[in-house]
Amino acid sequence: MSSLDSRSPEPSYLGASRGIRSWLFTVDHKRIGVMYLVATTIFMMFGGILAGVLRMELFTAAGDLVDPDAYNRMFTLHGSIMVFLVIIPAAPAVIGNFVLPLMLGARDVAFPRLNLASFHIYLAGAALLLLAMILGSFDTGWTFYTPYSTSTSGPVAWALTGVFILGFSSILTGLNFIVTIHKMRAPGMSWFRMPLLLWALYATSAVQLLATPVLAITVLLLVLERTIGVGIFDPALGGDPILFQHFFWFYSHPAVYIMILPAFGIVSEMVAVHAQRPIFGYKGIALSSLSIAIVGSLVWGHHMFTSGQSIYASVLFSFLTFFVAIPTAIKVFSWVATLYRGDIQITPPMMYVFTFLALFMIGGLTGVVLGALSLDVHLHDTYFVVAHFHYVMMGGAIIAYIGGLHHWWPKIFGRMYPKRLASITSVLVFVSFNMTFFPMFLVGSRGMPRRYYEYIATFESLNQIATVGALLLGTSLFLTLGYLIWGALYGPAASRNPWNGLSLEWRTESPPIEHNFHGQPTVSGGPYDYPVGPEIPSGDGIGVSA
Amino acid sequence: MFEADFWLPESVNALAAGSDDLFVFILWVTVVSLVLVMGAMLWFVFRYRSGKAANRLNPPTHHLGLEVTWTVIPTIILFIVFFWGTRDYVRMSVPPASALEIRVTGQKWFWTFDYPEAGVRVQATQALDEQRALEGSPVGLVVPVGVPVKLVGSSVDVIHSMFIPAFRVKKDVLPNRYTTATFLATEEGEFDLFCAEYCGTKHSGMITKVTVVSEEDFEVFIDELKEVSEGPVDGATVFAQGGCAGCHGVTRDAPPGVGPSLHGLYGREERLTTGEFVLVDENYLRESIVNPMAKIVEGYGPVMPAYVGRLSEEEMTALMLYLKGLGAEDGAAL
Repeated sequence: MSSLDSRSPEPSYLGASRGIRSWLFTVDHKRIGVMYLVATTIFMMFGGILAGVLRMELFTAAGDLVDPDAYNRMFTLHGSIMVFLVIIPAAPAVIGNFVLPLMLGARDVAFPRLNLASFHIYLAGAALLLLAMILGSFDTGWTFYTPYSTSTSGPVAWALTGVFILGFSSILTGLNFIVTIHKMRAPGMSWFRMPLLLWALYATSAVQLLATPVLAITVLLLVLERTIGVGIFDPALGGDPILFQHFFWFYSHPAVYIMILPAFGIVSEMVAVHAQRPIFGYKGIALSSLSIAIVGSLVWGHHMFTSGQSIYASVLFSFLTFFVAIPTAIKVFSWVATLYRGDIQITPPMMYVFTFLALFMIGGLTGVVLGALSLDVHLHDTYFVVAHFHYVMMGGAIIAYIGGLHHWWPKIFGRMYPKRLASITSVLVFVSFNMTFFPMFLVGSRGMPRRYYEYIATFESLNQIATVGALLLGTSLFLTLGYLIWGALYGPAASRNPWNGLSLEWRTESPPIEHNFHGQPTVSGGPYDYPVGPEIPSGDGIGVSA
Repeated sequence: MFEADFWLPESVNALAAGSDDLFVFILWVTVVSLVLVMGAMLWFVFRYRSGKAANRLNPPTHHLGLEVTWTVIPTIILFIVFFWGTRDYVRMSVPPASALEIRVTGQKWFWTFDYPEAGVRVQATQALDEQRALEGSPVGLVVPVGVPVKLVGSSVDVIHSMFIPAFRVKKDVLPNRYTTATFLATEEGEFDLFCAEYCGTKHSGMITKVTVVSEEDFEVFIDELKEVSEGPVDGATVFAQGGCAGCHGVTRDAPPGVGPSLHGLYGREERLTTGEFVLVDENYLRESIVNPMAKIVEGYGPVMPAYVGRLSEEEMTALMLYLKGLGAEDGAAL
């Protein structure tokens, strides 16, 4: 890497070249991150609008807004889009792509062309999913359970091919990040001097690399089953539908950790920077990411307690499930302990840390309810499960991701959004989120099954609260999108280090120059080595010498 | 808020008695954890907010005692939850030896209950349930109070799941294999039975009741069924019991359903999804019942379950007679 030490003004990565081609065929990780940001935001809006229609349909017990087949196709699209096009790529591909090389003090990821290929593959997979939607859409649920998925009409094979292709995007991004973290850390950055986001992304990448191929094989078998009737899963052909569920959850449970581990990393960064003190239990947080990735790969059968799998398998999967809860609890305690004797800045990212902690704790503890065999029998496939995974996936993963956007937004675009409005909006998001999803716990534990187009009248009032909450939540999120875009375009210019962060991305310009740094940065301490002595923390660049 | 009956429907299954206690236990663990952790968070935010004078010297980054505590306590609680949940699960899953066996068949989009010992069958389509309710007869799955019951389930098409919230019972039913669920009802009454595994268009309509009656009433119910099942087969009954009315209208002004209206269908020419035309005669009707995927009328999806092996020859004949008569009085045929 060149070590030109010139301080002459250089254009930022945003202005380094112009034209649509300079974006679509860029190999700059920052531009690729921004393109992922645009793509995932558009899909999130689309998936969110679908959710809004679903909630409006459920406002009354009778089916009256759309017909049942349209409802079934919409919840299938909502799930598929949110899982495969939004949450799985959002944190690694947007924040990871933009921030990972900067945090490492590197010029780019290890394989910049492969990184661009990941994005193009993502677009191709997304295009196939949308093509399936245009061709009449599919109503299998995002879980594609057989034999329903092999016997229903619609372009299911196109959608499955889209998921197959999306998997490769995920695998290549994971591979790229692992190699980059191994080979391109700045001089002086030992493993335990890495910011915790990098540990989280490392664990995420490992899961992406190891579990995604199983999904690829599974959906390929399903396509073959639909098209030429190979009979792996269809009992009419001598196959086994439970086998499909094992295959599917062998990927899709670890996929939950693909979604939540980067969120843990983002929260670790935000809590330390905005509390202006060293993080509590660095090694505990770093290693618990890895142990969650490992144990999380062994618990897939807890999705199948009522499927008819053997009682012994269920007992084993239940036992292992509780072992994921322990490292997760340790992380939560460590984040809260980091606030003790901190210099806590009530900034929008910190507001999202508080929101995350509250919602994720509810999501995690209701997971303990579902891990208990006797209780899961009653609650499985009810709205209790719907509430649980929205608390974890949206209250956890998406909330941390939105918080992360607020944290790195001034770095990405060099401009600041209106901070007071952002803090107020985060409260609106928190309140409307709970209004939307908390009633679902109750309606679920009282017996309302999920994926129901109509329901018995007893459940109506709780559903109405949820629907009103969902509309408020949607409004709050659109408001968030609005002020973030406004901030990126017209906000006041941001300094290179608006939050007084110590990791390397805060040592370059906002927005960064095309090659990230003017010289090769070096590291001589930990990422959160805030002064802890009597002097008052202030100013830029403390604790790390260039 | 902190009682089981706020969260859960009343439990009337002796085998699941006390299993709600674990729910309440975890509820308390959740509330206490939330209060402690959120309380600590809010207290720290209040105490160490930037600009507020506070002792910020040497914030700890490690504390062995604290870290061991917050690892060991959750571990102990989780072990308790695991053993408690597993114990209750085994108790809820193993049917007592003397259990009354009932065969449950799931099919898009209704349930069939066979009482093999008595040799009788009940079908629980929405229309039949309504009819029975009007007549004052027990609806849906009828079981005696105080007698252990073992449900042996299977499906004839896709996966369904029998879910009886008041019994804390849920079990998927699959094609080509049997699954079992068990309960012992402690109270007479009507309880909901839902399909909990997504199965297509009318998934949310695949609901019926479990009616728990006294042992005497149960015997009366079975005897009445025996009488009915020995009478001559009526096509309209076969049509109703087959669940056909869920998707097919039979009157002139019936709104279009999931399947085509059958009014005046016989003798008509229909356009198929392949673009071919077919004359609706006895052979086409029969084929469309036993193997509906073979020739699908344009504008409809391949969603009808195959009735191959589901109807006796006697029933098929009666059904055919009934179908041919639909709309014939209006002169629609020919």
